[in-house]
Amino acid sequence: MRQVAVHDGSGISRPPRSSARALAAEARAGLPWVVLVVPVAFIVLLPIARLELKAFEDGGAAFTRAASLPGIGRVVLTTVWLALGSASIALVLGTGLAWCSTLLPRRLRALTSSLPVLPIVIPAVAAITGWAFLLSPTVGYLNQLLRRLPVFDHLDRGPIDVFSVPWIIILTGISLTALVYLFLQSGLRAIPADLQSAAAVSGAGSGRVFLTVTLPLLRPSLAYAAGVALVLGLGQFTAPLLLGRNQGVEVLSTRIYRLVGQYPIDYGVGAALGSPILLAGLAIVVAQRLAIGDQRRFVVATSKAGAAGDDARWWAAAAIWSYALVAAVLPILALVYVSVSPFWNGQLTLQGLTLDHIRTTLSADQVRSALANSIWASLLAIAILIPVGFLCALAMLKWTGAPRWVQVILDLLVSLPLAVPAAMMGFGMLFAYTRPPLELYGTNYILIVAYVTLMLPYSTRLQTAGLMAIGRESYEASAASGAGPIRTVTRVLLPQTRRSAATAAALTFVLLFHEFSASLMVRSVRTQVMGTVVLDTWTSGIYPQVAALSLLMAAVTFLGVVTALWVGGSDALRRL
Amino acid sequence: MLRTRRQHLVQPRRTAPLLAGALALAMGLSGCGGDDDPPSAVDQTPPSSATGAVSPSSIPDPTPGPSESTAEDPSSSAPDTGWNEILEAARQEGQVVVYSGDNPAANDRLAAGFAEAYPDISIEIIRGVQYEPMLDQERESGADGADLYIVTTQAWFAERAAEGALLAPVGPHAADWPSEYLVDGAVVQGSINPFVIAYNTDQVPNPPVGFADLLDPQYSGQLASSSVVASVVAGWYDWLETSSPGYIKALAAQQPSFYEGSVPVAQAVAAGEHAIGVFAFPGSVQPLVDEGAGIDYVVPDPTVGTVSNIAALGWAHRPNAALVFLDWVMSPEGQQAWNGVGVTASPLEGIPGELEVANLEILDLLPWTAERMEDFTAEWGSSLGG
Repeated sequence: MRQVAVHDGSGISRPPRSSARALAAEARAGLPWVVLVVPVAFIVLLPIARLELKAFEDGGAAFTRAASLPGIGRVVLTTVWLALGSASIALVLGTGLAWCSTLLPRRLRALTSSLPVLPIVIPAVAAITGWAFLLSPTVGYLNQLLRRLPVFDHLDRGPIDVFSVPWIIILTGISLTALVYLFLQSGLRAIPADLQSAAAVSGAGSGRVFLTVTLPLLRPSLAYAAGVALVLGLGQFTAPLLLGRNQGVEVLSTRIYRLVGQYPIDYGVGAALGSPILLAGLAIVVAQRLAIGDQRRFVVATSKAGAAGDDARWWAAAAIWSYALVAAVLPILALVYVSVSPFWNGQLTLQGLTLDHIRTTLSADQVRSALANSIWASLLAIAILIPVGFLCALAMLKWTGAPRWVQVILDLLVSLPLAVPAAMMGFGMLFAYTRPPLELYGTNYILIVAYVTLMLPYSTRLQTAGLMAIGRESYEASAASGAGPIRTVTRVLLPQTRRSAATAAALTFVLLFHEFSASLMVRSVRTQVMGTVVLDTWTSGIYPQVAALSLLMAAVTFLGVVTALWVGGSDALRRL
Repeated sequence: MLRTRRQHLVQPRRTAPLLAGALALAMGLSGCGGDDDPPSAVDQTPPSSATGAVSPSSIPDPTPGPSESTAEDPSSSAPDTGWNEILEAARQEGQVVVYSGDNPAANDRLAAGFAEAYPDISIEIIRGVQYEPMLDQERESGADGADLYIVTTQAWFAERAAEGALLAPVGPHAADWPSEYLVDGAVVQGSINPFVIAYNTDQVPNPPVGFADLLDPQYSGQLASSSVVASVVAGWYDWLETSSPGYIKALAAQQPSFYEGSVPVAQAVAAGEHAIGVFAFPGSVQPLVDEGAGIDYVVPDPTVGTVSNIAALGWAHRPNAALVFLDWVMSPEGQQAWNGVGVTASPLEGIPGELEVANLEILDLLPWTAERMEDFTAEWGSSLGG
């Protein structure tokens, strides 16, 4: 950070223009930042760059091979449907729930408005196994209940077939809803309440207020949420992987995963298959940026916002409770029941229940080592992520005076993992890290590198929010008082960001513990994490043990979320 | 896939396998790449002192050692002869890791039986379907992985044997092992499994008697089968198609659901999710029967069988322990543990409790190389679960 600056009244230091020496000075000033930029560039770019190079080897022969895979057209179509369908469902449901949260009675507001976030607490792989027990066509518990209704009682299977494309899309959409809701909640809180009150006073019903006043103001949040939902929907991996096998439903990411099950792995074809997802993800992120401009503008919430609270509707609370029940409570209940059953069967009976499977699961050596791996790898990754994320956040803030080129490059690098689906990233890492210079296969280090790469955007974003909340006044006051940059950071900024760093750590831990797609790509038989053990048990093992494992995952995550809330306050989750 | 592991009290120390080099000659081992090559050939004669079962040492050598994170080069010490030296080295290795495609109940029996016979060698059996790519990856990267592999696949073993990358069994029980159940001098065929048809006893009062019955309209939408995840599945579908041309298409027309292997098929049938499990083995069904689930199986007429092959891997990090486990599996006690509960048959005569499988035709899975699997999947994949 430089001492020389030109102040043009905007409060932002700019370099003196039109001087080659000044440009050189700026380049030199950026040199310390190179220490940050180079490693970040390395871990973010290496997997994807090497993979894409592989795809284009031999004049793109891999693309030809990929295009001639049997049934690939149907796979691509299913991928597109999954992305569009799940994103649409998530946007509609998420917006609806966000609207309901504005209509909550004041007494219920605090608890009820956090309920839609509950599904995030449950790892996707755990939730999907719960849904399978609920919605298996013949013996799924919910299906059996539905068949008692007069309209369905003539059926002996269904009516819901969880192993079909529509329901894979619906379940993915339901789980993405929580994320969309989270983003919209942040946006809602930034909207001044007086606008909505004015509309209501002028005679508009609550629906019209929402459609004509609130929703347009939410456009930035909606655009952001839509972008995230689309990218996540494109790379969706867990639901198609667990539920698709029964009827041969495949998407691009699961097709790439199947390549990992052959030796030698045809990385070229995998890269070719993943290129459309990669391009689409990049396009979405770019479009998102263009639509809402610098998203950092929307991070700071200063107005007294939110609904006035007079306009409470009981059905709004009922809607939110129903969503929480369906999306979170039901799968957990199914998992609990199956985990204490001697074997999976569709009968809800209290006879013969046993703790044997839970006991076997908890004492199994492979489970313990996977649990230890998950926790240890997550903690180590966080130990790297927090400082690196802090430094990146610092660099990208305009008022810390990092040169523009550093800011631009870091911004790009830090956003890139968001645009790449985790499964693709994992596949790229498998390719990059099973050959020189870094051969990490079969060790836990490959997990840690994967986690750091994937979570860099979140760690940076969370800490950017924290730094912006502090505001640049402290920073500039410190600089004005004569403290050098290091001293300013360590004595002034760090103490104030402790809480946001701790929240970031807890939330990142939750996300990492959930992590499934990339872990599945880079794991070896003896370096597993909880999610991959659940999958192995699901595909080739014993269902009550699957249920016990899923519950164990959910329990650890729940502890992580509680810690995050305790450390960061009740608004911690909103910072995501 | 979860298995229990017996702890042992001594810090294992990795020492060079003393006999690995001898075995190398038996297999014509050449360098297989990576740091853990077994030493090159030394002339080897089977230990003349080998008799009966090896009695386990009751007091393990309390030599503490560093916990290993990299493999020690097994070629670093002079090869030696004698089963006792192998045993001693195995105890110092202290652990053996097996990847197994066999069903969880069988793996548990193997683990429990071996732990009882050799309490100072801790055993870890990891269950999964089709581990060949992972094993190849481990071999290439030198990662610490499996010492032995149990699977019905044959082609992969044949390729490794041709490279000289497997360890020949040299224990005392190798001499008594029937030679027709030892392939390429290193692949032990340890268990014989007939294909059966599983059915849910609540939903199917009159079970089918043969695979042909499954094409009956009454079973439409009620079948559970396996997708083509391994050569045993491909070979079995191919046998069905060859015995009865048009079978696969007709089966696909019944709209079965597909799972990965026989264990989830049996679980789904026991749950009542499907009435019939088309791809099934007694070993996957019987544990559910024992739990009181409403499932049973019939041995169809005609049917074929498959064998579970086991071999010790030449690139194993613990080759001596691997040989000890292999020898135990070939012993009457090991065979009793594996095949003594009436769901599989043993290559050895007179194992109490084994399944009677007289005149069972065993599927030849040798031709099912990766290329043939690809062709099969290209032709039939869309009908058989993608």
